[in-house]
Amino acid sequence: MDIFANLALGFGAVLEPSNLMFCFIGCLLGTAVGVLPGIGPLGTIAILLPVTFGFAPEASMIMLAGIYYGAQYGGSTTAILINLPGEATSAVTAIDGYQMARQGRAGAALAIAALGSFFAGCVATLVIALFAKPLTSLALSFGPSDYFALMVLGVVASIALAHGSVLKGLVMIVLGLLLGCVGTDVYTGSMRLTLGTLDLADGIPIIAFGSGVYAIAEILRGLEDEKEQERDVLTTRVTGLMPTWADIKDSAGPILRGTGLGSILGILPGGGAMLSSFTSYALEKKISLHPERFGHGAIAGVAGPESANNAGAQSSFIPMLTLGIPSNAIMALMIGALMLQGVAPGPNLVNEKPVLFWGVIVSMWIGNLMLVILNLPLVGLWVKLLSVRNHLLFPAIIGFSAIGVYSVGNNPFDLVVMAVFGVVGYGLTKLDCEPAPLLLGFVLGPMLEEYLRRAMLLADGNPLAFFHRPITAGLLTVAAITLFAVLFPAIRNRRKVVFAEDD
Amino acid sequence: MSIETRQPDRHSFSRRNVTFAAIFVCFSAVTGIYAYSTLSIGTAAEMGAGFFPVMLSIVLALLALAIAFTPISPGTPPLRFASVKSSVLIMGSPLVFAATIQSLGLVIAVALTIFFSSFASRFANLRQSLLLSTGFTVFCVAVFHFLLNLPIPLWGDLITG
Repeated sequence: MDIFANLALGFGAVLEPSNLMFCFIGCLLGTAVGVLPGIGPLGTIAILLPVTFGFAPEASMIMLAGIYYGAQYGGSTTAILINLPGEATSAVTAIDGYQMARQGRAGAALAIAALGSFFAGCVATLVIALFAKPLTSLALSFGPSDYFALMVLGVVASIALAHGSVLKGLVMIVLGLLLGCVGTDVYTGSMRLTLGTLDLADGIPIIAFGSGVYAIAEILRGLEDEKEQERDVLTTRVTGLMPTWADIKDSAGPILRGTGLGSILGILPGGGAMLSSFTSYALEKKISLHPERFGHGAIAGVAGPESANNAGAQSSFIPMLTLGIPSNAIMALMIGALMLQGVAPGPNLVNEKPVLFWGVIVSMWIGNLMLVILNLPLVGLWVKLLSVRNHLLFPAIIGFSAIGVYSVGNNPFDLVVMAVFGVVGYGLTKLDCEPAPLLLGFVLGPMLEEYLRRAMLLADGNPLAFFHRPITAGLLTVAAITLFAVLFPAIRNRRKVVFAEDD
Repeated sequence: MSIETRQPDRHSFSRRNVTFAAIFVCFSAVTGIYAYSTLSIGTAAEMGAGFFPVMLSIVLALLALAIAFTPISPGTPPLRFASVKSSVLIMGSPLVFAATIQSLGLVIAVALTIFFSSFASRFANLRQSLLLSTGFTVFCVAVFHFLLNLPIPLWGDLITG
């Protein structure tokens, strides 16, 4: 079996002491930012991207991946203990998890969340290992128009599946695409939209962009209403981490379903951890024999979503690793990290950088193991982290990201870009816009344009020729139907119901 | 994620959305004209550098215009802004770093940036800010200079001469 040789290759890479350490640091940081509200994995990855610049590509990807799935663990801890989801994906966990904690069953909820996540993480790692190779071969047969269509579908799906205004999501994507145009045009060498400055010849620096939109804008949001933080932490009551036999029996089904759901939804363009956990909660509530228990401490409402978000977080690596196409904003940053390292993302990655490819996959399994150990016995320590006051934290975040942004090009201009995008990002949140599709569009822009140009050249300038290729035609049709469906009011109203748990 | 919901009036314009549309239509018009006047458009088969940006500007303007006619989505929190002082301090802090990093070097630039930004909080006081910036500068120098070996000089041109 090919797959065992590949996994062995991955294990070889991960078990190197330095990579193990980076995996551990990633998981540790991920848990920390998952616990802390106000800073999520997206911001952390944006800020730490430049730090990983000097590492080997394997180490950098392993650490950044650890931050993403580690945050799923950390987020559930605060969701359960203090009804404060540190991470948006844990918002549904808080519904039943906090009720369990109030009934004195915090230990069981935490244990089920961690064990469910671990199980889901293991399964999702296997799914990636199994599907990566066939998907890559499929991707290699794709023509430029197929790629173009795939990205269009990805963009449309990411807006359709997210909540919030569809139109504004589209505007954010298009704005991101437009910002991605800034810089030297690869075909003609002419400078585009650079405002006459050479500082923008290589385009808007992604790290300055990300740090501005995430660090600066998020910090300002946190400063809007500063109050004395009196957090009701239930730590003293966390006793008995062992779930009872009945708990295990009640959560086995939800964990299995959540894992399956997350693995599938993570692969979808626009999918990922968030969509998976919301869908899983809705599903468990629907098929439960006792739906009235949901919201009053049903363990299925913790087990299902927590497994699903972890599976979704991991399987969303599949399109990124095999096709080079990011399915969400975090994966867009991962692509940015790869490109900064000089590694070309895409279907050739698995052949050209097998150690990187399989190393990242195996590191997820190892990382999940570390996370269970980090999270269960040390839960008290993580909750203590919440006593770190925000006003001592944010100056450190600014200092850290300033150095990071500067270190990439040693150019003070990049910090001006960071400040500008901080203003832009803050302004956009005031206009009810999500910054995630902006980042996704920004990273996809150059790729989308390149494939469009190549496809149009092959099609001799006739976009209708796209429809002669079955894959292109199929993908574009699905994209069109999706877009029509979400803009059509009847279906839009149903969509609100799906996300109703959020409010 | 509980949000104060206020029932939107479905038939009236939302001021926020009209502002949104106005900003974006202006932005895309400026960008589109800028791209059109400085870049070659080319043909559909052989797109010039300006084809994609101009096309996107037009799409952006149309989408933004459509938003002006939509009511505000339900569940939108009421508009709140950070205080002027906080905004200036936070948005200005990267600029402090930009202005000092080359002339004064990493140590002073980080310390100043943190010190400066810390006053954006209501709870800041001089002693705490001094402690925080000193402590964090030591940490950053240890991590970035000694651990990661980043080629950023600790002391700038003005100091080393």
